[in-house]
Amino acid sequence: MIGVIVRAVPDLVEGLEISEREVLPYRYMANEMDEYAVEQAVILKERYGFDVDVIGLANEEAYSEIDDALFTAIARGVDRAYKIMIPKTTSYKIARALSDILKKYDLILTGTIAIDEYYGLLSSLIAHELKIPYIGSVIGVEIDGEDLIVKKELEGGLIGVLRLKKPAVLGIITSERPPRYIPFSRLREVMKSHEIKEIDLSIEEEELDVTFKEPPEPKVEFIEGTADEIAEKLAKILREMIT
Amino acid sequence: MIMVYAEVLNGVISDITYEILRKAREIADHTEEEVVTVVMGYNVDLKYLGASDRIIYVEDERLKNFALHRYVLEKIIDKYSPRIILIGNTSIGMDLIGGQPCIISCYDFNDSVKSISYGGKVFIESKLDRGILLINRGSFEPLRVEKEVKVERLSLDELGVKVDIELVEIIRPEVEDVDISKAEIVVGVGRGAQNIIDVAEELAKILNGVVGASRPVIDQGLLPRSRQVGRSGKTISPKLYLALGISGAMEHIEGVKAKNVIAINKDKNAPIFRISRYGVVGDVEEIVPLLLERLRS
Repeated sequence: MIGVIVRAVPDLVEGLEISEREVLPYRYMANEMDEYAVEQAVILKERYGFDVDVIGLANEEAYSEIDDALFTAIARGVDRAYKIMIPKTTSYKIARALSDILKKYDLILTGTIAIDEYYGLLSSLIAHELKIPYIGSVIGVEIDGEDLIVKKELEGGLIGVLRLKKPAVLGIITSERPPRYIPFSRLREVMKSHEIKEIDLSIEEEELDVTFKEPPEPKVEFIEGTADEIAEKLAKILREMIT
Repeated sequence: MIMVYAEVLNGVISDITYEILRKAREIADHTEEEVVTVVMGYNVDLKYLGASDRIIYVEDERLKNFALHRYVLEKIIDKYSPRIILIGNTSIGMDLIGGQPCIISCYDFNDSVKSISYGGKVFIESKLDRGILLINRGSFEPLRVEKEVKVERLSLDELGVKVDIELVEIIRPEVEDVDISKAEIVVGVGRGAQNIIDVAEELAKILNGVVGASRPVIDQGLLPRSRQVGRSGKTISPKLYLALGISGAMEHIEGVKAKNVIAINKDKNAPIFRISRYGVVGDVEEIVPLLLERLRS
C-alpha cells in the first residue's frame, strides 16, 4: 500500500502579508511537488496494482481548502483520502506524530520540499522517524519484486539510479508524467460519492524564534508605459545589448 | 567544531564544498573552533581542502553511492558532536539531513542564520545553536587551498553503517539538440509564458539565441530536459538572459550567471527582478508578440 502526503501551502501568486512574526497567505493551495507525488502514486497503482491513500495536512485556515486537492487525488485514481489538522508547529513534531499512521505503508511518497519549509524537511524526517530509507529529488519509480528502482535527479542533467528494499520514503520532485487533467464534472462526481476521513493526531505545538522579512527592493530599472511603448523600448535595449 | 560535508560526485569534490569552506573558515577563525571536512567516497582528491584543520575520510568503494552518506553522516555526527554541520543545498545534500535541527536554503550566517523560503518571497532570520545548515550554491566565493592537512581515516564497516541502497548507475543526459550552457543569448520560458513557447522560439531565433526554460515548463513536457536552467538543469552564462514569465525561485536563479537579465513578469514582487537589470511588470502574452514585431521591422 502507498501513502501520499499532500500539504496545503500558501498560493504565492495570490501574494503574502509578511510581518516580523508571521507570513499570512491570502489563499492556500496544494504543494506542487506533493501533487506530483500523487500522480506518481497513481502511475504505480496502474502499473503494479497498489492501493493508494492520500493524507492531507492543513492548518486551520486551509483545512477546508485542502479538500479540493484530496478529491482531485481521488479523481486521479487514489483509493482513500484522509486529512489532519496541523497546528503552528515544526516538521519535526509533525513527522513524529505521523509516524504511527504511516508505518503500515510499503511506500510513502510526498514532495521533496514544500514551498514554505525552512526548518527541517518533512519528507526526510518521516523516514528518520520510521527508521527506513529516504531518497529525495525523485523523478521516477519502478518496482522489481521487493525492490524499488528509483531515479534521482542530480545536477546538470545527471540521474542516479538506485535500488533499495521497501518500505521507504521517497521525496518526489516531479512525476514520470504531468498530473492528469480532471474535468470539473468528474471532480463533482467524486465529491458526491466520496468522503474525506478526518484524523485527529493532537500534534504538539511549537513556535520557532524566527523573524520574517520582505526581500530587499530590487535594483532593477522598470520599463513602463503601454504595451506598445514597452515593446518599443525593449526592442531598442535588446538591439543595443546584442550588438 | 564546524563540520563541512564534502559533496563528491563521480570522484570529484563539487564547487559548493569550497564555497562552504570559505564561510566555515571565517566563522571558525572568529569563534576559535576547528573546521573538519568529512569526505566519503573512493579515490577522492583531497588536495584543495587545505582550508580545513582536519579531514575525516571514510574511503570505501561502496561510498561512491551518495545515498549511503545519510547513514554515515549520522554516525559521524554522533561520534564527533559538531556544533554546526554545513552541507550544500543540493539534491545530494538535501537527502543527508535526518533528525538534526536543520535550516534549509541558507545564504549567510553569523550570529543568526539567514535563509530564503516561500519561493524566494520571504527572507528569514533564525537562531540555531546546534544543527545543520543547508547552504545555497553561490552564497560564498570558493576557497581552494593547496595545503597538507591531517587526515583521519574511518572504515565504513567499523562505523556499523547498514548498506541497504545500491547505486545501479548514473545516467548522463542524452545528446542534446542545443547546449544552452554555451549560448550567448538565452530566452527563458517560465510557467507564465508556457502558452507562447512558439513566439519565444521565434524571438530567440531573431536574437541569435536559444530557448531555455524553468522547471515547471520542463516538468509538463513542453520542452526537453536539456533546456532546463537551474540547480537540477544547466547553469547558463550568456551575455543576455531574457526571462519570460519566470518567477525566479532559488532553484532557477542558481543556474543563471548572465551578464544582463531582462525579465517580464506580471508579479512585481517576482524574485527574478532581484537579479534583473531591466524589468517589465506586465503580461508576456501581450508584450512578447509586440516585441517580436518590433525586432522584425
